[in-house]
Amino acid sequence: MATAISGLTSLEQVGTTYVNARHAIRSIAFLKANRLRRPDLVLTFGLPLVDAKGAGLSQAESYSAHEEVYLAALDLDDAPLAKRCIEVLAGRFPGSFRVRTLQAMAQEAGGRFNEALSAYNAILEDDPANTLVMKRRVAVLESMGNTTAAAQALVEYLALYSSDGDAWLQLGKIYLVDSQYRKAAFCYEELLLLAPTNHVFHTKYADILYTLGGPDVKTARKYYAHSLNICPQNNARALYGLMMCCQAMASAGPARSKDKDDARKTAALLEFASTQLEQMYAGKASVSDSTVLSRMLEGLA
Amino acid sequence: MLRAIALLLGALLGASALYEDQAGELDWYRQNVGAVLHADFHTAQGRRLVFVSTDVGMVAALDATTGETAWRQPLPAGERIVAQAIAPGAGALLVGSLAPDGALMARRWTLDGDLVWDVAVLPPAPDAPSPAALAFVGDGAESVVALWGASVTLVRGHTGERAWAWTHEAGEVSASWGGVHLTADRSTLVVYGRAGAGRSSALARAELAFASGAPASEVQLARAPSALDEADAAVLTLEPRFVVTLDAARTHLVFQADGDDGAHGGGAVRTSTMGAWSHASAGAHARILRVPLPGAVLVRLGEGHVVLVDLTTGEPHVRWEARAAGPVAIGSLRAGAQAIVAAVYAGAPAASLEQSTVLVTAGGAEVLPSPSAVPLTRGSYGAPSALYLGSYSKKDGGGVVQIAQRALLVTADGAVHGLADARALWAREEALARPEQLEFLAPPRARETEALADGPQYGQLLRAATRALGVAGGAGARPDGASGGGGALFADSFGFRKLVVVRTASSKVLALRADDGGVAWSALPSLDGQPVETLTMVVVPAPITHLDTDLLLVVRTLSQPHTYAALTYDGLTGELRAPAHSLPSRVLWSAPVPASDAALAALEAGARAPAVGHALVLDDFTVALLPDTDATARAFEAARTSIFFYLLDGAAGVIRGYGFARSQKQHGFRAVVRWTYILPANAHDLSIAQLDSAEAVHAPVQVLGDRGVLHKHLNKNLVALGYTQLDRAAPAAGPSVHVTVLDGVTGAAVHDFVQPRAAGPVKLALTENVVVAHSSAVPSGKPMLSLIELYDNATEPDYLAIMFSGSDAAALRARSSFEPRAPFALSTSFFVSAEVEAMAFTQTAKGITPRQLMLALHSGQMLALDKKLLDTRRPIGAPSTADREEGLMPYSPVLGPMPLQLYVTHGHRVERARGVRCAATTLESTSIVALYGADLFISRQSPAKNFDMLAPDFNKGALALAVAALGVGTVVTTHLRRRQELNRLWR
Repeated sequence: MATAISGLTSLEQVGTTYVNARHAIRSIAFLKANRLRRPDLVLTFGLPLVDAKGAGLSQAESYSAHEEVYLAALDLDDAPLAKRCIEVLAGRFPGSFRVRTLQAMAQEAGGRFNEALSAYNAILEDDPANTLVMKRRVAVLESMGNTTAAAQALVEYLALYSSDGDAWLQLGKIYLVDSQYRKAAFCYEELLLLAPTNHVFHTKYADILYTLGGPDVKTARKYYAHSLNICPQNNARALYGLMMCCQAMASAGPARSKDKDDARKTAALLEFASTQLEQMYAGKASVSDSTVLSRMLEGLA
Repeated sequence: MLRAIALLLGALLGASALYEDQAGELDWYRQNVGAVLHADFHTAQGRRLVFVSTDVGMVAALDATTGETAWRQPLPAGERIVAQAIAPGAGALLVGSLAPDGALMARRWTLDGDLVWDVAVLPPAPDAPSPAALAFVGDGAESVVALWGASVTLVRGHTGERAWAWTHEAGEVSASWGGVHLTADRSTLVVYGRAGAGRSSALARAELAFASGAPASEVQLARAPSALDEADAAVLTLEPRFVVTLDAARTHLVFQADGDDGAHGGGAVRTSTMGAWSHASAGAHARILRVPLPGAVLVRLGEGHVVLVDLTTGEPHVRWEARAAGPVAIGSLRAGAQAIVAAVYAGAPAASLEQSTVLVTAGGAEVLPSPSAVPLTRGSYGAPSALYLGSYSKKDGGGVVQIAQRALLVTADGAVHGLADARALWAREEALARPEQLEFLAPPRARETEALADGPQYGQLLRAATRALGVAGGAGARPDGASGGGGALFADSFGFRKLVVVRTASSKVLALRADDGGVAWSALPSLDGQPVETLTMVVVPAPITHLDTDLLLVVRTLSQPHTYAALTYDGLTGELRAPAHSLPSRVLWSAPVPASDAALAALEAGARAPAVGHALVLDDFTVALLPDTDATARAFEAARTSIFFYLLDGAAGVIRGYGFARSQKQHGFRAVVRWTYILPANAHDLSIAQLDSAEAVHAPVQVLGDRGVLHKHLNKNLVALGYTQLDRAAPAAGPSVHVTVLDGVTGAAVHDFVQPRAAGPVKLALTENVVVAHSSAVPSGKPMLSLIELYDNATEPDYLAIMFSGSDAAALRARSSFEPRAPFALSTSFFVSAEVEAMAFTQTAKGITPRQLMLALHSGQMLALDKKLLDTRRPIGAPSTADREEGLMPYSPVLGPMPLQLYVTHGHRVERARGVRCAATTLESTSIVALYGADLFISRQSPAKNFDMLAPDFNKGALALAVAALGVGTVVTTHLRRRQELNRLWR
């Protein structure tokens, strides 16, 4: 769902043509707030503002427009425009970390990763807590394929900003790519703490536990079930994971008397998951029987 | 101890007085001298002065060029000035007056107004006839001769020492001396008069040794051919000298020649028949004017007819006759052996005055060319009543010194005019010296569409701008441009701009601007050109605030039989609203008839027709309605059941309350007696006062220190009656003062207060539930104030009403007098340090501000007493905690001495103070107070300081500067903050 910025709630309202400076500013803000990477639209709205040198705008709005147009120009590989914008900003804010970061992003866009990395490192020496630069550095390292360094950079970042969910997510992805499942699981545990109602994180965490196998499968089953509890509908991945976990546990060998009851529950869960999946794919998926699911979950505890 | 109390009072009361720089801005003082009775011109140290003595007992020097008062000295109250003489060589001004106890007072003043001495000449016998004559003889007025019947007393002019007294004792033929002459060798004083009565009347002459008073010879008697006039004393002319008088019928002039050597003394007594001089002459009105002329005399045959008679021939020289009705004013100026006589009289048309001048010498009379028209500056002054001449030297174009005339003309209204060279130099409205009634009159509020109201809230700059641009109404003028000498005004935002309307003893009505004391308009009422006496003046408030307030005058002609009429003036402009309305008899009482709703609506809509009527109760208790229309009758009919009045019959000791009933006549009403209150038979010194119906009352309760409340007994119909009563059964107890509070509608006695061992006259003042009475303790004569506060028995207040509307409306509403309510009273008395002539409570717009009692003191000052000083609940002994919290001071039987700042008149003295009036302004804190008598003092009074207005010394410039600085600071810091924020974002 789009975030309402200055009265704009949808891309349709933003339109594709320049109306006036105020509308342009609101439109650019809307695109940014909703992370809509539409450099074409940004240029449509921002270029007249840059050409008019911010007439009718406050200074803050004008320089913000220059920044957005600069980033859009980098996206569209319009170097002359980017240069125009960065000259204005560098002239007004000499030595600014933010401008230096933008200049490094130009190097990044030009594929000059080492130069960009040096620039970022230089900035961090002066401003060690600059989040944007720390993140850009991770991005550069990833672009260079140096996932280990990228992970290291992210760890450093998260040591400072441990509540940044995106960073944990990114670190988790890097660890997954590097098959470091335990570390990835740790990252997702942090994410579950930060966003306990996000069923995707539960599912993803369960996936990692299932991948680790062994005793963690049972825990994975629990998290799949929890994900289904949070999002009972159209949650095929969790159902599938639940089914896989149940199957893996069922095929693990003869159960002891203590586990007999658990095996019964596993079988019921398998039945439940498979039925649900069948129904979903048959287009008959209805409201899950949460009562059954809850009982199962209690039994799994 | 007293000083400590004074200090404590000063600390507690604070200063409600003016600051030094506010004097003359917030208050003003008008000093009058009164109508001139005697005047002498004199030039001293380059300043032309005229020394006057007046009908209100003032001796003053006026600047003859500007009319300003150079100095003024009041004589003790009650003295009547009978003679004045100036001795320039001796630098002396001598004034003779008749004191209330019958003594003849002679006083000598320096020309700078300092009293040198005064001496009282007691009557020769307790029942001696009056009036006496006082003459100043010698060039330096070196002696004062008092002629009193047959008695002659000489007082040395330099020392005031009584030298000798001589009385003609001749059995039945006792003399009545009227003229005195000192021989050239200053050895003999010759006195002239008449002796005997009826057919044995004779002209008398006696010679007395100047040094000792011993008679030089027998009194010479010259038998007159007929009985002589006994009412007026004989008159002595200048050289050639004649003794002149009238016969008893006042148809013949009786005179006898005289001389220093006595050669003519005892000469033949001659007569002239005055009837031959004019067809309208002689008779009861004829009298000889006391104007010393050489061998000639002025005889006023009638009001408008004066004849100059040459006594050597016994025939008239000159006759003056006013062409229009009105008197002839005569003035004379002695110049050596010559004299100049001038007459001013009404010309044709009557509005103009003419002057005629005659030079009188020993050989005859010569009419001098003189300006025929006397210019008067403005206003209506009435007929001339007296003229005083003076001379001064002036240089003409060629450097030749000429003698010019200067004159002081007194008109019928008492105004004094300075005239010179056919120009009116100045005029003084001296009618104001004898005020009978003073009322405040609020100018109308401007309609929003009519004018830009002038108010301080617009600021000085806007006012200055509107004045500069000439925007109508910017300076408070009427938008239609109508203004009487700049006097017609709209009300200002604070309600300070009012008119003070004064009815004077000379029947003149003057409206002064309350903010600066200028005369807005003046009117001398008349009926068909005839002078009238103004009996009552009633302010008729406009039914809506956009209209002018009217003034209703009830007048009667001076001629017999009296004709009565009602005149309605526009209070703002002084214009007569309508022709005079004849009345069959005097008016006992009057009141405006409340306008109907329809009439009010018409007025609001802009109708110009007078919608307010007036009801006058005539001598026979019928009601005359003004205007006498059906609409007025209907309005009166609608309101008559709620209109009540009372009349005090002081002689019979009865107060009667009246209501109104229909009479047999169509649209007729009559007043009927509703109640009668009979005073004790031995009650005297009656005085009566009532609550001001327009008084605003804010709080129906008085909150006590212990959070309890006392419910005030609020009744708009309260009437207080004060009188002195001597208990015949126990005369040793002395008289007592009674104050009876009545309900004016029902006549019910609400409360009776007795102050033992006190005597009147009782002066009363009322406000809310408080009655203050002033009387004198017996036998000490110390003035004291008695205070009575009426309270209702406690009832539960309407808490809901207080909670939702802020006040208990039920407690404030006008209660019916027929509701049975028995208040209880608290009373106490205080001695005050000064005798009080009049008193009134301050009035404010909403009655929130604590009241002050304004006392007009006998000394001419006005004292403001805080109500908390005058509290019946001041504790005797140590005050309790609750008392202290309420601010109650311990009771002290003496109020005083008072801190100086409570004397609101400051350095001014209002001589002959007789009344105090207070009026509310729009500003709640401020009341306008007027103290009137021979002088007039008006000030603003703020009993609780100016809590709702900026102090006059408030620095508006600094405020503007501070606001501007804040504005600039805000702009600059906003810019800096944005810049900083931007830099922070782009760090």
